[in-house]
Amino acid sequence: MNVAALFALWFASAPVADMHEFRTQAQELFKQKKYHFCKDKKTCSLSAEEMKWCGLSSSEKSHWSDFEQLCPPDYDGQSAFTEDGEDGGNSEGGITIRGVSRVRGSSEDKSGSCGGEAAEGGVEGTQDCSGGQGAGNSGASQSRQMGSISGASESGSGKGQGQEQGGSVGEEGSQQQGQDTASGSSHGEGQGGNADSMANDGGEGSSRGEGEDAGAGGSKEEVPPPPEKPQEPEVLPPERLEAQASTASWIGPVLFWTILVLGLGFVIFVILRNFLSSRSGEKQTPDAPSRTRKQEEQTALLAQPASLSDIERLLLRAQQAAASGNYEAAVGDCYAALLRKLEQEGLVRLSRFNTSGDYVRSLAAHAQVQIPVQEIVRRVDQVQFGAHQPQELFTQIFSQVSAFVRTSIHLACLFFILTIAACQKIEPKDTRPAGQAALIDLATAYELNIEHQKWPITQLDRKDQTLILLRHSNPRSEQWDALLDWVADGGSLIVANGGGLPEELGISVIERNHLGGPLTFRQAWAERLGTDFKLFVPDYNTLLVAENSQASVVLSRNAGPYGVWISRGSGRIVVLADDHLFTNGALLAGDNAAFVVGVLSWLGSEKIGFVDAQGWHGPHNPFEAIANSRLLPILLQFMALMGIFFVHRGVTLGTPRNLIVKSRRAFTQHVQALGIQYAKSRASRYALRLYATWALERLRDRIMLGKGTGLFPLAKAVAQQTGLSEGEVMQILVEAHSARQEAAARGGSSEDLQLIHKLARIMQTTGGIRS
Amino acid sequence: MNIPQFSQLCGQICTQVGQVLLGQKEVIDHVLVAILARGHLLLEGVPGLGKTLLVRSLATVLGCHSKRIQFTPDLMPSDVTGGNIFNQRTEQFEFLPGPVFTQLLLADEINRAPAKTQSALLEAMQERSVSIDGVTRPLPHPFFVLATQNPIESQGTYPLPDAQLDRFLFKIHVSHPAKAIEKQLLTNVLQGFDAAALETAKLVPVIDSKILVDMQMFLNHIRVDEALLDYITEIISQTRSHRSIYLGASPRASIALLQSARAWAAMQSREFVIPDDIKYLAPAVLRHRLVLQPEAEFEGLSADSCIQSILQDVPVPKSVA
Repeated sequence: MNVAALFALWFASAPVADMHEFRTQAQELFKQKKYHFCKDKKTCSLSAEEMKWCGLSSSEKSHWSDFEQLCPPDYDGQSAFTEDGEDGGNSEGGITIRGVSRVRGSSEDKSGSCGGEAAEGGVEGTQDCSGGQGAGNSGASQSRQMGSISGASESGSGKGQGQEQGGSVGEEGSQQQGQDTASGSSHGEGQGGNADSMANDGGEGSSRGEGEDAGAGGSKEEVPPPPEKPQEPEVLPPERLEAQASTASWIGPVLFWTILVLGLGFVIFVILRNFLSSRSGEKQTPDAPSRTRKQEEQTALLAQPASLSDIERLLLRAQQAAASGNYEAAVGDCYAALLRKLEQEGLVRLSRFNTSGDYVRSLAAHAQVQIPVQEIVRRVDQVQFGAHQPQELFTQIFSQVSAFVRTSIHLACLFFILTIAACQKIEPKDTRPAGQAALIDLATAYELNIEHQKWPITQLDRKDQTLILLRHSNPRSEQWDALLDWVADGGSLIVANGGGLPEELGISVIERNHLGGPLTFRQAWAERLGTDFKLFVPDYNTLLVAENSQASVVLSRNAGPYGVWISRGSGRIVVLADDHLFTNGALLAGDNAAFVVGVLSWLGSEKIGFVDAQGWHGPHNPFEAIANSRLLPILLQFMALMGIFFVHRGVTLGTPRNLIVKSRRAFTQHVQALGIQYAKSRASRYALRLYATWALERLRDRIMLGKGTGLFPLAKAVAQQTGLSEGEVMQILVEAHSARQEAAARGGSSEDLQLIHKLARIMQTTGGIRS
Repeated sequence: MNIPQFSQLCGQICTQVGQVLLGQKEVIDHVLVAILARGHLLLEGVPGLGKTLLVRSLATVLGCHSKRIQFTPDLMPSDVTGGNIFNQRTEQFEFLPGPVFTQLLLADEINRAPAKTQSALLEAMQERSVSIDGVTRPLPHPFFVLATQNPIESQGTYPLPDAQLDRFLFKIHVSHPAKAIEKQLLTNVLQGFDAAALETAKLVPVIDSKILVDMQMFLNHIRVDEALLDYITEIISQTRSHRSIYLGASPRASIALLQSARAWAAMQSREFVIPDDIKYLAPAVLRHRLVLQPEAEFEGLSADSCIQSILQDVPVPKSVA
């Protein structure tokens, strides 16, 4: 399709032709929506992307009526342009052609002029005397950023020429590639040559124009060594990226569904268990006793609103009991609520065998809790056991318990609020300067249906849809294939993700071309929109269009194309060098808003979706997933709370126990251990045999003193000494004697132990059990 | 007298005695409870822990007179109770009171005397009177026996009969003091403290025997909820049915537990008893009244462990858990 015809169609069908109206309405929207722009320098926390807007030249800012809403009042734009070099006037700029080549240069210009001579080898970096191109008042700051300087220039004198010539030559250069001239005489020519040189170098890998040489020739000053070059981020090969993607693609879903199924299963299990238990509880036999008062109370407690916690229910029931005059029960409920709270916090363990003193003593390690609890317990005891007037004490107890309980509830609420506050909305209504809220508002104002793209690219089936790829939405190769097929079937695609385009489009992005200035339309557009129509974007990225590409330039900036148009099948592709035009900040500048709405209206889709970092492809690793989901603040807060918890509760993971000091055991401990072993093996008969043997011999030694060996005289003597009946003693001695004759090693009964006990008593009475 | 006064006096007594007997607060508390509950105390501990010092200092602080009997195997009952002596001048028998006629009696190493001598204290402890030759003579009021026995030495000792043990309100184990306490004790000695000369400790009488009797009488005003009576009886009942206990506690133990709980409640500035009082004092009241099964002794169980298991099996009245 003829490109000129398409754009003619666009202008004819555009619903809004008055760009001033766009501008006015965009500004009005900004005033109404109050986006999160900087109000002062102290509170300003713009991202690097957003700061780029603050680095526009003064001439560009003059077209930006509400500039002060975005940037700090006294911000001069320096930091936005000093990412690659920060030391004085020495810096390093660069040109990056993603995936194709890299051209980098450095320059030095402390005087503000674009001095220098052409670098040896005939390859120049970019020249930008844009300090002179605009108002001519910021030459120092901007020339510092420039790449290598070809040719000597005077920032003061050649401004207007530089702009116009550079722009025209640049435009030519984009079409007449290969006309590289490293001229060193004219600034305007130098820019044009620079554009050409970039085009030429595009397919050759990389080349470098050394600014030191140029600087030495131009300013005659000694050039310090160039700063260390920033490292390029590692570019993973496609197969590795695909492997990572495929690994991440199945781990995430499996984990998600596993956790979900387990969670649901647990909930269902709990519900079923409670249901079954309640059913079994209802099946009471006719003879079953009637429900007790406690059961009825529990039923009444459960009948209260489910949204209440146990503690709140108990407090509510206490109030109800007090209202009905049953103050003693009310006090009991208050006390129960307090104990339940303490149990929830892991401070006490509830048991019906524990006294109130047990609970208080268990709080010994938490004095801040123990003291108020002790006071409450004292009053509860007064009611329960002291027969004090419960009516008077209930009010005090209730207020104390409520205060105690609510302190913890307030802490929980605070934690909840902090957690919620830590969350960052992933809504498309991102009102930050780099967000898309203004775009949505603006498009909606013109009845354009625009929203965040929620569906995978492979599920794009609406042919009347327009899809905008913003920064960080980098489709993989198979996704690109699907996208291009979708476009060929009639879809409209705006690619503004700043690079990573498929090779078949023949388009690359050059970062930091540094050919500043407003964007200009082609001739036909300028006639339509007027000469005062200006588009401004920072960062000065441009596109590099391959010779065999079907793309046609629709927007350009000085020497380089900024936007191109490609017709593919029934669909259309618009490629922009970056996505700045679709950000909130862009709509404040110049006639950016008019352009955006115009393009979207021209595409005429019923539905417009945009894709950003939260795009359709999953993360490659857990850290990326956390970063994408913006869970980092919550996780950090959670970890901090866990740290506080461990500091508060101690670091022991189990019940502290005293160290067992190994020492030599006493003889009695050995005897005790032996006895325990006998008891475990049920060898009471054997123990009786041993003890009976010893006891009989000792009794004879103590009492008989050689007066015979029979049991009868021994029993008689023992009976006399102990006061026991002779028959009883005789029975004990006979049993002991019988046990002595047995050779049993195991077995026995409790009677054996009783006999040992009786013998031991006789031994005690007759002189002790040891001697 | 009211509860604040009662509690204040008890606090002063404990403070005074605590100045002399360092690190034995629980023992002092139990002794005071036993005195207020009109009971007697059996202290079990190795020599040198200050048992005699405790009695002497208590006598000073309580304003009572005290006597000490060192029990030996050849000690006769008349050595404890006293006896009738024939006065040749008057040609009549005259009663010569023994050391039992005092207000605070320290029966040191009571288990070294044979059973018949120990039995001489039975009537004195329970009836607070002594019968000699058919004449019953009342003991001074108040009367309090604090007996000690050495658990280590058993040679030449006679274990106390169950009937005698049952007459003691408490049996307290006196343990060695902590290191810091012992160091403080040495510091006091360096500063001139002499256990043999209590006057150097500057103890002052807090009350006299009359006030002590008033305090004992005041315990009748301490309220005991009916649920607590059930609690006490349930505990005592459990001792009689416990699988490891051969002989459980007697009704006298129930009374002892009740009275001591009232005394302890009053000492805590409460005019009513709570379950915690009973649970706190139960081991001291019951440990010497229980006879364990031989199997339990073989298994290494003690009376204290049995009591603890009982206390963990008896629900606390009016519990909200």
